[in-house]
Amino acid sequence: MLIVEYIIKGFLEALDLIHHPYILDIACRSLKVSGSATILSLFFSVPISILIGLYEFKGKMIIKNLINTFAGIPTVIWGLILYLMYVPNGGILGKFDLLYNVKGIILGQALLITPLISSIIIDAIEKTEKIFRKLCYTLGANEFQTIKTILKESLPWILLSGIIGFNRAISELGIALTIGGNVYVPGASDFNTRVLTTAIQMHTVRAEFSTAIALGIILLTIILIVNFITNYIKKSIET
Amino acid sequence: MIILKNICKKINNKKILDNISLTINKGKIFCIMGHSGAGKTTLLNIISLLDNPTAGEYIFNNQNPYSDIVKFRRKITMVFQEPILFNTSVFENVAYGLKVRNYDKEEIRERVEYILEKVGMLEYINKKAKYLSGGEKQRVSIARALVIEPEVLVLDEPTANLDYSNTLIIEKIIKDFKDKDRSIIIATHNLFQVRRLADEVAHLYYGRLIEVGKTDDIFNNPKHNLTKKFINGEMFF
Ligand SMILES: Nc1ncnc2c1ncn2[C@@H]1O[C@H](COP(=O)(O)OP(=O)(O)O)[C@@H](O)[C@H]1O
Ligand SMILES: [Mg+2]
Repeated sequence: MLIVEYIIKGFLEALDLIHHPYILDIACRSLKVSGSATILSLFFSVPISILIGLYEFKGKMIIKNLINTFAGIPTVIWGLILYLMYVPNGGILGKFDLLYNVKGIILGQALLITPLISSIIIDAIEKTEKIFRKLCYTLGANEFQTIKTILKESLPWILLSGIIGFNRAISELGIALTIGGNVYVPGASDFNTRVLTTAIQMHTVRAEFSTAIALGIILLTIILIVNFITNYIKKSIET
Repeated sequence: MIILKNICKKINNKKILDNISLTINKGKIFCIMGHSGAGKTTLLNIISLLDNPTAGEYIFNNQNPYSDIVKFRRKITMVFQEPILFNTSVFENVAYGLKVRNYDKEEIRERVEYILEKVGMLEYINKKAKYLSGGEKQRVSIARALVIEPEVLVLDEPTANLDYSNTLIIEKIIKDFKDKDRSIIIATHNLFQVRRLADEVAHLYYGRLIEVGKTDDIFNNPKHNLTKKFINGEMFF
């Protein structure tokens, strides 16, 4: 059979498969895992980034460079680092049962996207502060009111950083595969760790193209929607 | 009344302002004229308590304004050359200075509507500020300062980026704001504007104050050679 025929056949079958409980189960897990990772990351990256963005201190440049460096670590390296941290005998987080567990993927993806989210928020805060601090001052705002205004003006960027972070988390493979292990036992939903990216990888190498394509369509649709929201927010920020 | 004594500003060891001594009285429009790069914006920022001089003394109504900077800033409002608007509605923009001063809602609404009417922007009250044209943005940013009714209104090249009709609108707004209890300080490189608006003029040249006086005296009888050149339009940069 020609490759093209594979693709066309796979695509047609995929359209039927999209409603399949197996596919939906994996898609839901992906959304839950990466959504939780994003929220978890925002919990620590928002306050820290706001502090770094607002204040000048010694070593600020070093911290910003470090954040940018961390943002560039490949996910497979994250997988390795996390594995060594999670491994039950000897890992510093060994006793928390994170290996081959969605909780482990959530924490891993949260760490992965934290530098990305932080650098977006820090940039946004620094930019808005440069534009608005003097204005707030001259209009009579005290320090607290000024910071409140700067944060309010940066809010769309904070939202945006979360969405960009989510996009990165849901499309990464290295952590989900190394830490999650792509476990899937029908009915054992508490133990399953299979997400869209790991499932696509597995079905592809098993030559189960229609399933892989169905999963791929869902992942791309999610990313498309996320990009749509991103553009919408970006447009609302533009002046 | 504002008194500056020997104000200096150095940035990276470069003298931006050199020994500026000035008295600015209430009830007058005071223009600081000078070529681009003369130090007008730097001086206005210092007067508005948005920047600190590296040397010299600043006396505001016989007091030291640095003793309580927020309190004194609330008496002086500056309008920047480039209109910077919050990413909110025209109403929210103009209301800002009143909100941070904890005015009650009804008074804010009343005063904002009154001032927007004055600058001819009332119909835009609920519009997003970012959709306004350049002239409209400048009018909103001036309204946002006027609504506070500051004791000192500081304007940095308020019409530099505007066409002639918008310039006249804004000059009229400024003249209407003149009051015996207020000072208006305007930086400009536009000689015609100085003649139309100013009661008193200071000529700033490379960070130094060349000449200060009543507008008529300066224009009819400039004492300094550089001022003569400047008002004859012989200074090009
Ligand atoms: N933050 C700064 N860093 C370095 N140089 C500055 C800074 N601000 C102003 N200057 C310099 O100070 C001089 C006066 O600038 P400015 O006050 O903006 O002049 P004007 O408003 O009259 O055009 C210029 O030579 C400018 O380059
Ligand atoms: Mg200037």
